[in-house]
Amino acid sequence: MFGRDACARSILVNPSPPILGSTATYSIQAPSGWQISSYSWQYRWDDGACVSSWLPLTSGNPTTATQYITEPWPGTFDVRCTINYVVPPNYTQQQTVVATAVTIAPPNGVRILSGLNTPTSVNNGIWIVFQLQSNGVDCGPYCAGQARELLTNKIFHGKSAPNDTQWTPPAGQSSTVFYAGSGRINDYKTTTHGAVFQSWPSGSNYYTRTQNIRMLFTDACGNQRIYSRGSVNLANQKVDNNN
Amino acid sequence: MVTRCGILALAATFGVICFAGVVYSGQPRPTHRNKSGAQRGQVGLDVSQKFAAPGLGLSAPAPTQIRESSLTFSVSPSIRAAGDALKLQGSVAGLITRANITPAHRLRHFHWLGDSRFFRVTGWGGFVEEVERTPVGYIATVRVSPVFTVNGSSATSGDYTIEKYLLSDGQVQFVEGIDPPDASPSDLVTD
Repeated sequence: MFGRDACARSILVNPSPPILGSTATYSIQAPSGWQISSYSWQYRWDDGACVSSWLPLTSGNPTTATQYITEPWPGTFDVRCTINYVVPPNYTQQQTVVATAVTIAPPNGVRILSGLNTPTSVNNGIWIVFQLQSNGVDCGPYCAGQARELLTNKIFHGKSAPNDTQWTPPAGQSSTVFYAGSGRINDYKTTTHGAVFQSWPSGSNYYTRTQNIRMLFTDACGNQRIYSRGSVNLANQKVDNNN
Repeated sequence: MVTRCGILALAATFGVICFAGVVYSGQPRPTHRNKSGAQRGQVGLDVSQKFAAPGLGLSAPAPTQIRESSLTFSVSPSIRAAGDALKLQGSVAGLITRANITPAHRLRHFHWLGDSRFFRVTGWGGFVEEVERTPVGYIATVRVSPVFTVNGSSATSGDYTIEKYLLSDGQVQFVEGIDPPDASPSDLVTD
């Protein structure tokens, strides 16, 4: 007998919930005794702001019982697997659809991997590398989106300087000095030293600021989504007249 | 005034881009003032020399105009102000912000930011340094800096100018601009 009730199984997600930017496994176990003709895996955005059409879970032809996928976007998604069974002649085609909802936590923080405590000079800028995090867990390496920054609370040579008025780089514009890749944000910082720096006391901070970081991406409905990555306080300390 | 052209280097991903800057050789830099009205003219820096062709293939003459039409001027109280002074500075800052005046003196002072190959000014920021009560109204002294990017990166400069505004009967009027001796465009960081 071919009945739907005998086929209802759940989708196993590992890890559960998936971590933004990481690889996750979606699998389903069909009941024994049934001959499977194919699996069909699909997903859709489903979090209020965007309910998309059903899309293939992976590129290519996701027809096996286990799918290994990357999770580049935060949000809530529906994932479903349609199981098609082999049926004898003269029987109606039977299939079972098993679905689950998956929520991937948005990014909300960074930790600095490298670049601190590195002298900068006119000819030697530094790369600061931020590791993207979600609730304290490292994300990546497959995070989607554009990294952007906004500097506030600037004190330069003892004087307050105005906050940035815009996030940079502008939306949709790439930057070679501030960009996301492999689950990290790479940020190149430079400095030129003039008369005020020369007279600045060594061992003192000549520049402090708060660096606010966010990620911007477009969902399947065409909505721009912005997720704050939090902020870090950074200071430049004078080492000598060149650094 | 003793000045000489120095070379500022801005390292960017593309390599190192240099432009000429003004540095001062120890002697105090004279204060330039630009009163509103008829006293404009022989003021400000000789910006045609300030960012002369620096080499490294950047030999084209620098554009000389900051496109100021859509820029906003946001003024805040001094971060050191407290109590009644903070209240007064807050009120003054709000009025000057709403007036959104861009004096010609400011554009001349920050002329070096007009080179659109490197710089993009996105606004102006000011901090109230002093508010003085006078018989004709309040005179506010505001330290003004640009908000700008260098090759797309957020940047901060040691250059600034001093602007004085008269606030009387709810009206805001630019009085004069001052080029302070310790303003230093050669001190610059990018984030």
